[in-house]
Amino acid sequence: MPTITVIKEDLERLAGQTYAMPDLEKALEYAKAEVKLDDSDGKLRVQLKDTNRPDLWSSEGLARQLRGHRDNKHPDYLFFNKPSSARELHVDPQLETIRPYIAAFACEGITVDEATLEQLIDAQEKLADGYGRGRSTVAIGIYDASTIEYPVRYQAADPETTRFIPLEIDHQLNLRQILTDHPTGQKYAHLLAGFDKFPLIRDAKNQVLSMPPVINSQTLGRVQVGDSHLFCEATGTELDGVLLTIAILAANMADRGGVIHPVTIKYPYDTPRGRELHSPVDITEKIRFETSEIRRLVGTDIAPEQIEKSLQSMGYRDVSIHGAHVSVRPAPYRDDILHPVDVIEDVIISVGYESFEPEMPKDFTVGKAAPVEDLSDRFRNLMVGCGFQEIFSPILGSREEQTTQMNCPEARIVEIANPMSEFYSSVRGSLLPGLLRVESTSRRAKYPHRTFEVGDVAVIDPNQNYGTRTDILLCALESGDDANLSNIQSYLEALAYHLHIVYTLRPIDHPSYLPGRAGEICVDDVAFGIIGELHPTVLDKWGIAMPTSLFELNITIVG
Amino acid sequence: MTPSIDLESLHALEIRSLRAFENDAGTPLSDGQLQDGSGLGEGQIRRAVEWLISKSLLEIVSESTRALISLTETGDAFVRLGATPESALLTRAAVEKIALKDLQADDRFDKGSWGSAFGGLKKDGVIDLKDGAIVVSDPEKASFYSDRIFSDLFARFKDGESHVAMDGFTAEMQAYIQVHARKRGGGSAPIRLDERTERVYRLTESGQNVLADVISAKLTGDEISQLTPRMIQDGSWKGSSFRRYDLSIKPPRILMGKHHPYRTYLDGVRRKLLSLGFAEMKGPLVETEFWNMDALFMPQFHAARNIHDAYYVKSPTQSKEAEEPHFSRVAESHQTGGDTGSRGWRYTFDAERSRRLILRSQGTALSARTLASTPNNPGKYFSIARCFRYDDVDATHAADFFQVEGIVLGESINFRSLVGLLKMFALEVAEAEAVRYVPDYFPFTEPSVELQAKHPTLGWIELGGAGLFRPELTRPLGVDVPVIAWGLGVDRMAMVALGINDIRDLFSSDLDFVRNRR
Repeated sequence: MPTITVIKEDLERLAGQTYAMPDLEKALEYAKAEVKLDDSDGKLRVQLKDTNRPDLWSSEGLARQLRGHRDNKHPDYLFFNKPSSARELHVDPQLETIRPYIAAFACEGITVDEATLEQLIDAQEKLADGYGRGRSTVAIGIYDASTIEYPVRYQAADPETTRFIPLEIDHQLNLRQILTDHPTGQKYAHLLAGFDKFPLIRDAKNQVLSMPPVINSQTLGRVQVGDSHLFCEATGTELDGVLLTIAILAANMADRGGVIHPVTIKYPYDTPRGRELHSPVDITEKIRFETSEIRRLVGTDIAPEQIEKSLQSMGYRDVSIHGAHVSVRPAPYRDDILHPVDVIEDVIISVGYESFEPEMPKDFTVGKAAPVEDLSDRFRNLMVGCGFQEIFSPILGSREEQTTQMNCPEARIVEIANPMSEFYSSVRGSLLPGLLRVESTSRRAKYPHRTFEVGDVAVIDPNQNYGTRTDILLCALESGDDANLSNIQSYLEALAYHLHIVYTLRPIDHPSYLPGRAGEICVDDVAFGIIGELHPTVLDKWGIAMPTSLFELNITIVG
Repeated sequence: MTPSIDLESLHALEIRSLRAFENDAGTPLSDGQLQDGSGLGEGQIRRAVEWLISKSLLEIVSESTRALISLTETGDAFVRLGATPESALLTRAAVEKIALKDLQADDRFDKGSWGSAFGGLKKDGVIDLKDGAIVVSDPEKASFYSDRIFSDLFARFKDGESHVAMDGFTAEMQAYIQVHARKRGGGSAPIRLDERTERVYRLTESGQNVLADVISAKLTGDEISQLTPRMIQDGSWKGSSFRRYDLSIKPPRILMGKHHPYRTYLDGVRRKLLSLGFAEMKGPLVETEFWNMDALFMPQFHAARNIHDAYYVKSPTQSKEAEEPHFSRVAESHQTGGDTGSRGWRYTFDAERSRRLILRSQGTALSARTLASTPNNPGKYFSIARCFRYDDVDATHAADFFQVEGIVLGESINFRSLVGLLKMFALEVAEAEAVRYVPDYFPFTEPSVELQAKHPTLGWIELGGAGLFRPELTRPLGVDVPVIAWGLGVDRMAMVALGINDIRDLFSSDLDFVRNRR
């Protein structure tokens, strides 16, 4: 979920009106955005919930949504798919296997001020980082275009012999050095790992614009306050992603009053959209569906005029509603319409969620508890009746709690490959560590301690498709002067009597328990659990000063 | 005059101690006199006096230290024999010619006692040896040892006295006692000398008033405190009076067995959902990416699917096999949309990745499994599922958390029934005053709704989210009717209901905290 920084005055200028904060909050709900005023710098922090709408990740995009909802119309962008002979960009054949796609446009007529520059850089970073997945699928470059000469060339350059001055330093480096010596180069070096040649953008005079997706040049690639002629490009590994990014940037600049000059891209190889692209490219497709789909999804009729108005307010084009069919074309900067339901949701949002009368689901259905949860409850209630306090522990814990602290360093447990912290690096295979955690933090609580937990555990089981199994266990523990095997067994006896469990205890040697004081709880020679007195060395490791005994069993012991 | 103290609160020991002053409420009494007057033992008097002083009913008039004599076990034996080794020696020496070794054949005392008696008397000049026989050399002193020690000292303990005051003895006897007594813990001396603080007490004015009230209420301190089975059987309770309880005094609270407060809260939510006609779903903690994400139509490149959003299992890392037939249909839905009416996400589906094992990151995985296993139509399902996300643990993020979520499917399901369902949850489950619905985004629903509820003090809070499952999700799993997917932020609801500010306290390991929560 991206969060963007927006200058309120800039947003209001673009939207053509001012907003009190509560009104802005409400208005931005239509963009699935949550806005907060950050008192530290007086700027707005806007959280965009829709990860498929990168067109909204900027002041321009948000303002466009606000205007559309207010005025029920969106601007016509007439610069899509227009050939240009004056501005061409030529692609090197070797790039097909390195970073194959590029699109671009030029823009005149915006004078870059502080606010514009800040928003421009912010939007570019959010797009490349979020939508472009850390610049891997899409990266963006914006340049001062006043000295750029066409045709611009997208080349595969030799990393050792090609040199230019990258942003933020004052001397030339070769392309390889940029990846090893420049901080930004180091950050993105992994994107070019394994390639013999690196992407490079130069103009007709051989001036370097940038080395995508890593860094711009210090000369052309630095946009400053006062610039009024810009060149924008996006490169990447996914053509539609590149084209959508350029469409969004072009619409944004047009909204700021810029005149967009298309650039024709000439590829020496096939792309999914041909060898010659007139950028910005409108990649949207018409979508058709039956009008009845709307009624089916919404649960009520919406008048055709209302549908049309709503679609227009959300930026749809070529809206036509003829009898049983709706046909629309999404806005040229959107690529998130996969299915008619996406269009219908926009209609519902535009009409307003609260305009639809809630209706209770009317179908009769039978409530039914999961049998295993009902069984859990029977155990839980009996344990409470025995005077035990129920405990509720986290499922994640440290590896040590389940292994070395139980005197079982080799125990096989379900471990996390990417733990955030050692404290939460494994899934419990037993409820005992959770209860012992309570003992070790509650030494001042009045004794005796009688605690229990019923809950899910995950255990290794090579016979399963997932190699693991989820069980529900009961663990009951007594800690205090008189805790011993026979006292805790008297509670097991009570459970067994009331749940019709006929069990036997099979003596075992287990490193967690005192020798001669542990047994497996068996039904028909199948072990369902364990009972015993904890070994003093275990108590010591947990910092427990009282004799402690327990039993733990799988609740499926009840046949 | 109103008594300054509630008579009900007086303990039997206090009443009996007060009663010792009955003859003349103004006369001071010593510890010993109090014991005599009340018939109580030394320890009982000590406790009663302490209580009465703390209630300002009694005060100390004077305090003095007295030396008290008591007998050791050896001394007790002397009393039983009616003789000490010294007296026995002198008695025999007066009537026969006798040597030490003859005495040592007399088993009334052991050899050592005879020896030290002999040595002590000789050193003191009482006896001497003449022709190998013991003779008395100082008859005056001899009569002290042979008669007076026994009659004046040991005989005084004959009637079971435990202590006798030192100052009641002659100077001669006191000197003997000083020499022959041992302080506490010494050897085998027959007598022990203790220093004892003795106090003299007087009733205060309010003590005298309380005594008057005790007398007029006919309290004796002999009231029975506990009815026993024996009293019931032999009828001895008849004619007895029972000590009245002071009902304003609370006994300590017992430690009881009880359910965990958070679990109790979840039990309530579960009962509510069952009563609303929902069937409960259960599933494994370890999931595949397939059920957790792919089956939910979350593209494999989705931002919420990178390594920093879910926990991956170290070993094994993958399921053994993909779960057909759903697997192929879901993959097709991702790539091209298949027969779902969608264009799909348009990327190459990675089958290996789909089999990766993770810890369930959302309860919706259970809904996908339910949809794939021929659910009831119409049907309503829920689960209260433990979920895991890659997050720092702090006051608002627990290591693992609960999601209450589920589905409602049926031909009649639509956006209006979706908001109707949410409204019912807000009012029935969360007991909210008012609700609102805000557009939201989930990768697997369209349209998507955020449910906000008005809390009496916290204002509008986010209660949960819901939406209609995308056709790209339901059709590959074999479901052709609309499906509502809903989820409630139950941890947050529980924190509000239980008055907890730190989410980690929901799973506290502090036993006192858990015992005392209600």
